[in-house]
Amino acid sequence: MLFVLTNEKFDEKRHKADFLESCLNRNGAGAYSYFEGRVRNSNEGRAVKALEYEAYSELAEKEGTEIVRESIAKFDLVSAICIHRAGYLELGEISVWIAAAAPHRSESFAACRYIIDELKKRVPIWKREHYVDSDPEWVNCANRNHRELSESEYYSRQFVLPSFGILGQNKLKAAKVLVIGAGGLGSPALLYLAGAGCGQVDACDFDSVELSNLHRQIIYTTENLEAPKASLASARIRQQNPFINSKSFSLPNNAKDTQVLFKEYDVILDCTDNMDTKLFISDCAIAANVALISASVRKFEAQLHIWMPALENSKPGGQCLRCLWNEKDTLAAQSCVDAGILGAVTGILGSMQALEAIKYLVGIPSPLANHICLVDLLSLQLTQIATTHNEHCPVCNIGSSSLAEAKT
Amino acid sequence: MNRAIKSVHLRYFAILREQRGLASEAVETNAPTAKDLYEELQKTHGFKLNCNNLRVAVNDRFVNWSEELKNNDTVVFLPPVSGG
Ligand SMILES: [Zn+2]
Repeated sequence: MLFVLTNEKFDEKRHKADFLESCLNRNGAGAYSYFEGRVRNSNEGRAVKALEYEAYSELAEKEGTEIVRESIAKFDLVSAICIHRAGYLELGEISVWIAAAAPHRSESFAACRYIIDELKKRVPIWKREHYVDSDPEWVNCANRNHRELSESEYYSRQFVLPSFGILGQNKLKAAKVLVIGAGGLGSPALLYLAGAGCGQVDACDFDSVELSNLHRQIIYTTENLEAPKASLASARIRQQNPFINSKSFSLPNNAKDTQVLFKEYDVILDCTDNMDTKLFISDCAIAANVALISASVRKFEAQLHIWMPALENSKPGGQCLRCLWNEKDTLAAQSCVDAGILGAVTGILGSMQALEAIKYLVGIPSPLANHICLVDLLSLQLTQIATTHNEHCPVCNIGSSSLAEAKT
Repeated sequence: MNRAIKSVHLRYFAILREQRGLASEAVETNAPTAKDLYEELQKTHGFKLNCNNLRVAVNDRFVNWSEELKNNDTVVFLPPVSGG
């Protein structure tokens, strides 16, 4: 038997023993690969509680057998088998099991891959997902794509980048990013962070969408007017990339809770537009010892900062936004409401914030660590200015000494 | 084109089975091809999936939509698969 369709619960021990038994020329098989698919607790952001498989068994067995036979010929296998479940399956149960034995490992790996990929395309088996909070649905049948979305295909143009690859992608998948301000900077930042595959991309904003936002806040449409931004943005990026998670909330209004919140993240993006909030975010990020990427835009000019967490900072003494500015500068810093702003300008800076976050998370060195980048989009000039520890900065100096206390 | 009346055995799976409310049935039809038959059934039962979302098997074998139907054929319209 090359392909088995069964209603019985999978018996790992028995099936593996049977497979070894089937390898008549065992001494010719130097490599055994096994693939098992199991029932997962979520799909495209929806919580799944169980699965049901229905098969057109006559044709499924014919087509499944044909696929395994093809793999044996194609990869010169000693033996191969595919066992697929039908019926009702609980979370964690094995839904499909593939075994391939070959003289060498590359063929046995490739055969497992070939069998599962072809099976998903060709074998008449249908999956019905039972959700925690809605009615069951047949996968691939309701106004979605005609095939299951493939995560590796989603990132296929990104994998091939130098210093990226599967390792970089896995780092992004494990990363948690918080974007504060889902406006002109936050729109592109959220979309690109989600698209790149950061595993958790959360959005903070307490505002609702206004008509005067739409020329630069490209994550929203006229249909979203007056609706709260953060939850819209979060839902939108989950559509952009169904392989990530995102939630939305308002920033706590006190420093203590905000610091606790920040500690859950690998990097914070400050996409807000006023100096008071920026200083508050910077103070909390220093206390939480988390990387902060901050941008401020004024007309055609902008500043981009990255503040590294203290432990990764090779120089003595921390650095933060407050080393440079304080509340007295707030009055001088006009927000874009008064100064005017173009969507393309916040678009570029928000994209730069996303890019710096991706570089930081993947481990691609950035010249921006402890520098300010001055961006002039009229003359198209980028200027990097080194920042230094300010021994009078109340936050950094208190921050580093309390860090020292915490260590002893 | 064979417009003669023939008897065809139909089997339904997954979402089509649910939309039809039946797993199988026998129908009399003068549809010459599998495509004509599906379009006829789509009108009668309001199936939401179109031909280009489906594949068709006659007598347990995948065939083209232009396959001519014969008396006593078993016809299955297959929604997009999702095994694995
Ligand atoms: Zn400072």
